Amino acid sequence: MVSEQLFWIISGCLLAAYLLSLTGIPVYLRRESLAGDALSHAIFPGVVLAVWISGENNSWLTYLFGVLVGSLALFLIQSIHQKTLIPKDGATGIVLILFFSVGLLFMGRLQRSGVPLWGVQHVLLGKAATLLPSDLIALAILSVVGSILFFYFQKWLWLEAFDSKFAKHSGLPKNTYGLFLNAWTALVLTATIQILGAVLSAAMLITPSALGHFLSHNPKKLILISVLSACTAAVLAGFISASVPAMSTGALTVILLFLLAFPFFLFHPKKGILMKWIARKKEAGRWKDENTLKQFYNPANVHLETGLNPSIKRLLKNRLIQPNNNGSWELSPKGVLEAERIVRKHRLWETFLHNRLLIPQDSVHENAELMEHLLDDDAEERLSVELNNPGADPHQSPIPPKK
Amino acid sequence: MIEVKNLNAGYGKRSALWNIDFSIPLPAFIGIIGPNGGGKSTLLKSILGEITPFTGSIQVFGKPIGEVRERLAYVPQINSVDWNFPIRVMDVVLMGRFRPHSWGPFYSKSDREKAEFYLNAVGMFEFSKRQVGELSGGQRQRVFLARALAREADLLLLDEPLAGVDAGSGERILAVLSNYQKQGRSILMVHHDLLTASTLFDHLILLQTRLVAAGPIKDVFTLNNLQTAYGTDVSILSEMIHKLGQTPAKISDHP
Amino acid sequence: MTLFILATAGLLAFQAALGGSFLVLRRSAMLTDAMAHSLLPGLVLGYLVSGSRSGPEIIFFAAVSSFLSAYLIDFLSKFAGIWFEASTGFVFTSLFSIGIVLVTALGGNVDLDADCILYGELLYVPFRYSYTHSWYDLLPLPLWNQIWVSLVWIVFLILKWKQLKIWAFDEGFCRNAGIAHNSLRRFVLALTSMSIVVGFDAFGAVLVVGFFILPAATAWLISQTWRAMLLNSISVGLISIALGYGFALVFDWEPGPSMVCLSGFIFVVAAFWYYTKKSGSGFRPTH
Repeated sequence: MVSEQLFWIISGCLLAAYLLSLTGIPVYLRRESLAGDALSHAIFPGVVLAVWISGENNSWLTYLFGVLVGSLALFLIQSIHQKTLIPKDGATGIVLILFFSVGLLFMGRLQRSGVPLWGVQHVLLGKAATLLPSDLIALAILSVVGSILFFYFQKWLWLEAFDSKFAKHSGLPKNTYGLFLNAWTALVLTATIQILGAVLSAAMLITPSALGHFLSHNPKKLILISVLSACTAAVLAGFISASVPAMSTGALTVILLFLLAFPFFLFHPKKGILMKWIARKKEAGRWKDENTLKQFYNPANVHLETGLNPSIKRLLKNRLIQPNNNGSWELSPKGVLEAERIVRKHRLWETFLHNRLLIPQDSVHENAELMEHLLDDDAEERLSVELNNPGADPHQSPIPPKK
Repeated sequence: MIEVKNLNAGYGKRSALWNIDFSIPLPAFIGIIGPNGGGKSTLLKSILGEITPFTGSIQVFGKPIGEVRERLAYVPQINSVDWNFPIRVMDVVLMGRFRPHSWGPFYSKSDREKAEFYLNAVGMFEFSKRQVGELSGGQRQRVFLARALAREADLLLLDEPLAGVDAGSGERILAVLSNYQKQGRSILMVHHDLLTASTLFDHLILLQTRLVAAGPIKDVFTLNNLQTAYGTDVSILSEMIHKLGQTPAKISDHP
Repeated sequence: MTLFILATAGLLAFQAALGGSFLVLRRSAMLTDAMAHSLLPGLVLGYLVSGSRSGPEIIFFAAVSSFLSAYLIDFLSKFAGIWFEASTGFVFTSLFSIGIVLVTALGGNVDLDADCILYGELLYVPFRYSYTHSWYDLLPLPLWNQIWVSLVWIVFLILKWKQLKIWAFDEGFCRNAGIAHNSLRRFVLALTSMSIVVGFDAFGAVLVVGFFILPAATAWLISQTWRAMLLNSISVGLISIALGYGFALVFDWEPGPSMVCLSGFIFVVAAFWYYTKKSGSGFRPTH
């Protein structure tokens, strides 16, 4: 059912996705996602050099040069960032563009001298369809080695990424560890950009961890979500691209990941942007309603709403106000209780500010306008006890008793 | 024994400590006090090896600090960590059990038990599974203290552990430190509150860029010394010291 | 013809120096790279809509796509709590992939050189022109585009000079000063996306990014005032273009990468100079 070519493509993408998502976790945790992106572009001149020297496109020289050039790039980013006032993102951008441009210069020369650039072009966008068995073997070896390293050093990973100073004090060889991580990431990227291309490799490095972190702050779950989502996307993309000709499997994998992650970012029940927005609107509505109730409560207030606005509609719905004989609204018994509750909080707070914090009585009202919505019943209770159940606020307005 | 000889340290070209010389026997509960900018944090960081001094030597437990790293633990004043980091309270405390030569993927059962013990000691056990960003400032300080305690170091260094911490957390922290010290371990702590300093510690280091005094409390906490360090109104200090049960006459006799 | 090339490049350097100065100071340098990659889907859509390889539709769609990515990155980072660098990586790579799939999906039916795009030449090749030395192909049209966009930048700068200066320095202070820094940022990003799209026409996306980041970073290292920084970044950009083009002619290099590499070399020299001086020259804006 599954053709042999399809099998190769799916395996290649799956391994690449697995390797990248795993390697991407420490990169993500150390806040170096963009350095990963820069790395994927910076390896380019190394690969060009390797092709130039060796004449073939997938030799061990490619890996060696990839690691060397990549590590150099990461080292330069650190140097620029630490030794000049250029911040981290600026340093990252500088190294990215510089290395990539040098790569383009080399490539231009190569084109002129007629050296076949078959392998080099792939660096930019990759071509899963022309996967060689040697590529697959390389990926497989890296995946196994990477898994073992990750498994055994997971303590190191989390420790160094979270609190590198403490890690250093605890004896973790920070510099060696950092150098090794950089070299490893460069190695992995060198392998995968030949299949997926630079941008898509960077995508698989970053997105899975971002999704994993969004969904969980439990380290084990984060790893699981990241790796599983990446692999699932890769396999699915492989099958889909089989039915659609000339579809880039790598690009499809990234799109599937995007389609998985983005809805979560928007619609997650608690952390999703939409939910947070709804919660904010609800809260704003509550404040508005409480203020409306207060308006009706105060008998001196002659500017009463006679029309229908959203707040009035909500209050009507909750039976806190009812129509009166004059064509406008009045508080229902339930509404009176509610309004008194808010007024009580308002005036208790004013009393607290004035009596305890010695704030002049002209200045307490504005703050109380905010606090009346924020104090919960427990706080209200304690305030009252603390102030010895006062009968009136600093403006001599009566404080409604607790019912 | 903490032995500091001829220490000059600072940042860039600026000196924060001049000619610091003292030695204090361990175990002890040592407070570092003095006015702001007096070099207190700098002294701590020098002992930790976080900054390299311009001149001078530091020896702890009779050895240069580089050799006794595992016997030291540190709780900094501000933790420059990302509070959104995917890590839970228990994971943070477990980090205190990290040893570079233990290459196993997981912490051992005894590591876990110790972490739980110290987390409980600071009263944060029920927050084990919470993400660190969800905690208040005082709660976070307690968690980081538990992490340092979990190292079971012979010398614990803290930089103003009570700064910006609510009273409840602060009391808890002091109780825990007191217990820790009673087990025969040493604490070296930068402290900002003069009043409590005299009752908390058994030794003091009074710094004002130069060393004003270092040694047992009764030798250091004198009117003269405090005046030299803080340069403030004598009467306020003498009233304070009087309150603490020392008469002014006795104080001014001291050199 | 050389004049056209240099003029087009010069105007790009001018715009990029301005936009780049703001973005590099505001720690958003990598946004320019993200925006450059993100114009791909817009480009393809514009092509679909207009049916031709040139024209205002392409520029419009590409610029919108580019701006959208920057907006989305800020949006996700702010409201979903995703770390900024991860948000950047997530958004631009996803948009880029959508672009790739769109291109390959249309592969057969369309006049687009799909092979050309797939093999990555889109990244450094002008979309409409062949890569090697077809500068004579350069109609005044790209030059006109550059002129228009440069004028918009100048107007924006004149109108908002004072606020921009404060915002570049100290975003936190803007709230106190009543400056709408969010909308300022959006404006700068919108203008940047226009510059990127119009510049990409002649130089390819990646090289445009080089002009945004390198001269501004160099200027930051050597300048003491805001005005000096802007002038310096423009100067460095123009010098890089002149020298880069010269080197390209002499050594038979590709002109685009040559100019960026020159700019990079100037940066390296400036960085060394700064490091050896190390007396804290160059002002430091806050977060």
